[in-house]
Amino acid sequence: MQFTENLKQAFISLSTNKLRSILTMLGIVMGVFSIVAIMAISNAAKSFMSNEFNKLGANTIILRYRTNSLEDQDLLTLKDLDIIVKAMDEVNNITASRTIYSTIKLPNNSRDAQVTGVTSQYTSFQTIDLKEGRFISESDVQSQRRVAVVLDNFAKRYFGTTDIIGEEIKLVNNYGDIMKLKIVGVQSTEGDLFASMMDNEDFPVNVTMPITTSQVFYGRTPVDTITVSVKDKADLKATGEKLVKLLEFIHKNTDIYLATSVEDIQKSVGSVLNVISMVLVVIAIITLLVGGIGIINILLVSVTERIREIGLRKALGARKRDIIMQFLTESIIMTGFSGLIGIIIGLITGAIISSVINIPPVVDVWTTIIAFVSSVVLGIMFGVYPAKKAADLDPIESLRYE
Amino acid sequence: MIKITNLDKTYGQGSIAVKALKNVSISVEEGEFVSIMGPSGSGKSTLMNIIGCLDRATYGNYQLDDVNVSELNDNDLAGIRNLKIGFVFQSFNLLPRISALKNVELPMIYAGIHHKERQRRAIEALSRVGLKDRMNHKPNEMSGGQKQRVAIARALVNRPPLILADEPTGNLDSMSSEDIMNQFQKLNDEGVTVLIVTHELDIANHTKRIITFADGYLTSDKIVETPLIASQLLHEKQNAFKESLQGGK
Ligand SMILES: Nc1ncnc2c1ncn2[C@@H]1O[C@H](COP(=O)(O)OP(=O)(O)OP(=O)(O)O)[C@@H](O)[C@H]1O
Ligand SMILES: [Mg+2]
Repeated sequence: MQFTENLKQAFISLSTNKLRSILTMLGIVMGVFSIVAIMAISNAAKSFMSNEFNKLGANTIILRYRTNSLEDQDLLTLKDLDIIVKAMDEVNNITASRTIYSTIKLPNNSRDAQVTGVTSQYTSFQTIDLKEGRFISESDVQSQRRVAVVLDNFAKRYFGTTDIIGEEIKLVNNYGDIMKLKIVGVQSTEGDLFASMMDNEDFPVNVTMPITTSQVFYGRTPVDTITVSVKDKADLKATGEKLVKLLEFIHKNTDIYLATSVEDIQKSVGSVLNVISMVLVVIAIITLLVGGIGIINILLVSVTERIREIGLRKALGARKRDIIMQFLTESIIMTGFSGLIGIIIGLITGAIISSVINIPPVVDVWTTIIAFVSSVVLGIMFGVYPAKKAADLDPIESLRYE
Repeated sequence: MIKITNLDKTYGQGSIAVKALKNVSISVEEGEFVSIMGPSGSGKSTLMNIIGCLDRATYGNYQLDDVNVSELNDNDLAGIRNLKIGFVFQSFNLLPRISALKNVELPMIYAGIHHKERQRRAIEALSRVGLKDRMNHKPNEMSGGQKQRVAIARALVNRPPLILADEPTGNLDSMSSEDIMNQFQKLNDEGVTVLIVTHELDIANHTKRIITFADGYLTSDKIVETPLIASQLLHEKQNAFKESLQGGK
């Protein structure tokens, strides 16, 4: 029997029970939809992550403390930076930073502040778009100037404008001392997902200042992170180990410092994302299988309803394979259509969610193709049993069936 | 054309076994018009099903056109049913959701005939039974007689040499029955072998030969000397009907 004929007959029989067919298809639609949407979102998240990491530069090594119990001699200092630069040819660029949580005094209240002390090289590692003014300069660091860079959303919230160069902010340290800082730059947060999420009274205010100024005002832990960019990307691991050795030599200790390359972080974040999306996909596949059971069920009902028809078709010359194809086609049409609908809704949902959380949607052609092909394959799998059952019916008994 | 020797058919096994046919031997030549009669349960349908390759005999030999049917597999049997045999059932057995035309096209679909040719032949077959103007109607929009004519069109559309009809007039009034017998006689005149099962002697007398069954045995096999001619009777009946209408005025 010809393929087109099969299709026509399947359409006729499915449209005879429209509601039933649609309800049955819904399960598959849900399953395919979830898979496609999950894949779209997780791909978007992955590409967002790798974008963020690429900004940092893939050949970057971050040096931090391995533990919290540190002796004075273990603490990293700005001097270490000089030694590293002098001792290691592989180092291209280096910066240090320290992050302190303290308080900022505002006209009407006080808020928590996340104060990052940096060296002027900080901008070569982190893309910083300035809306107004400039970033912390080398001479700011050298002369421990009391200057700061704030975010544009902070400026708008408390000054009503981003044009606030020369204005002052007041920070408070643990001893209750107050330091006035002159604003020299306003950082743009446009298109920055996290910054816009944290533009909220509950999150600390972001302040960047010269690391030297921060050391004077807040004392202790002079440096908590040293970020190094390496000339040759190939020996990232070796350079990391060498850096740690060097620091251990300077500070006469062991097991205090830890070198992580951006690549490592990217990998581990990526694998966490993978695990999450795999778990979700497994759930989606279970949905799909439940939908498939629905299809088997409805096809079995359909076989029972059409026993006489099957008997008649056999009497008129239908072979077993014609009957099998007839029911398989119905099953495949149901799952194939559901697959298409699921893919479309999934892609739309993925796009909507991506635009809501500000990540560009990533349409993975292969996921889409695989989702469609597997829904067709599922159609075959779910259809086989009912189709076989129909094909094995005895023609006379079927014709007699009331 | 049909050669049956020492055929047995037993349904079920052991204590519930029913012997539906017992040592039946029949030959039917090409171009014959045979009716099979007998009380209910005598095995008429059972025999028709075996001749129609829908069922297999328990014992004995059945040759159709010199082919030993008992040796064929299911696919071959389907092919024989498709091309060599046309079935007409007491309860019409039309598919309710599709038009008369599509119903008639069904056997040709399984014969692999392509769309255009199929439609042409289906229209031809429906014209032949006088239902060309009804071809787009669904079965539930037709009378019993019309449905049976669609079924006949379906049975003859693949031009099979053998037509089997199990009580084709069982659900019809005398006028429609006459009409259906007329169709069968026309087919038979063209050389098609026709076998019908019937309970009515009136119907059987339209055929050329009457075989009688009782309790699974073939009990008699007689030639009908002067078969009734349906086209004449139909004419007479129609006239009588018209007169009765006029008389009633
Ligand atoms: N599938 C079956 N299983 C068991 N017994 C059956 C089956 N089909 C028919 N029989 C039995 O076989 C015998 C012959 O049945 P068959 O249908 O051939 O009779 P028939 O002559 O066609 O009767 P009718 O005139 O009522 O149609 C009956 O006793 C019937 O009960
Ligand atoms: Mg019968």
